[in-house]
Amino acid sequence: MDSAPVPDRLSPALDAVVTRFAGMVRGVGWRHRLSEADVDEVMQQVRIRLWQAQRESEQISRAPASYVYRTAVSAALDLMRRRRAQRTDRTISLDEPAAALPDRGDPHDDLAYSELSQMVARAIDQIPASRRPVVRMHLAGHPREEIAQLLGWSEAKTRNLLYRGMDDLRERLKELGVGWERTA
Amino acid sequence: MGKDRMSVPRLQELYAQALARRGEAAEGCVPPEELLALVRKEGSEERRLQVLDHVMGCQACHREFELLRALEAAGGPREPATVRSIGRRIMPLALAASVLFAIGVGLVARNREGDTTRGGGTALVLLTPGAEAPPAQPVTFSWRHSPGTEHYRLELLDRNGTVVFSQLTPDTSLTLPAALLPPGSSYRWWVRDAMPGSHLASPLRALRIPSK
Repeated sequence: MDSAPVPDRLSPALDAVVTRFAGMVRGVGWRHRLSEADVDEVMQQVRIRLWQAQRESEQISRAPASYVYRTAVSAALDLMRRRRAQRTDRTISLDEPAAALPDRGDPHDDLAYSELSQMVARAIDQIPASRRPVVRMHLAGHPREEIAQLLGWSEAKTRNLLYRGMDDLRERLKELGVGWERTA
Repeated sequence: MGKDRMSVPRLQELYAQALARRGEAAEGCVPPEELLALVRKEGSEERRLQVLDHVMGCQACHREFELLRALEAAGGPREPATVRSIGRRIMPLALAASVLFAIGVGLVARNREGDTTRGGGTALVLLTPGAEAPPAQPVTFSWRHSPGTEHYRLELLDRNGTVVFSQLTPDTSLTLPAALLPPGSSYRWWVRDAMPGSHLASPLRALRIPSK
């Protein structure tokens, strides 16, 4: 299914809508490190589906932008379902390389660094569930405004839960013997 | 471990490494429909927080979440908020969609003109390498200093957009060993201000390591 040819017989008007939509997805997506391969795969499916449906559906000509958007979401969900099925089938090879980690030069440093990173992960897992995702987003570099927008929260609520979550994390780390340089 | 001192940038670095070590897919991945519900703010807050917690700790789900988020931002009826409210009150759906696209195309065009960063501020300027680097040799990534930036984060992404290397540094260059960049591989890379909340970042730049 993934290797199906990309149809080139969309009407010029519909083709322009699809092209604009793909450009917007890329424009939004690159800031979040979105995979271009994913976008390409979804948009290829969108073209195929539109090509198959354009003669039969009046909705396309009535509201092409809305139709393209809904088709793209549907294609993306199908792509994800396929990937999950493939993941379930996949066996793990003992020869597969481990995730690339920065080489810190000294094996002892590597080990200590690795232990410390696992300790941080465990400490985060122990933060109360209501605050943990906010802390994860913060540590992944997402701005507070973005967290608030995603969760539909006010800026004050987001700030409050983030501060409390970071306090929780500091406490957990202190319990594990990890000190703190300064308050964040 | 008692001598370890922690700071937010260090914590971010350690967390990134913990995620990288965890691998592509974590246990208990959420169905795609729940990712979409999170993006659309549908369902109970408790469940959305559970889904988000998993998404932020699972590279595979995070990648899919970002795809849905981009689709929604590009064409969904919820973004941007100002246009959404006008569209709901005044215009029929088709017209609202047209306005969304017109604004969106404008934003995309603006983004392309300036090669912008998150938040639209001045971009960090990348220096080396160019689009291609010789195989089997260390590669030095460098960029121009930005006043006010204390730490930079260099990230290297593979063809699928997965972060394969991430490093925090106070310097304006970082050299990666040849072993990390095998011949015949392609990447994209960027540098951003590591301070939480900062929108300062470089554009993404492609990098190819030709076969020997």
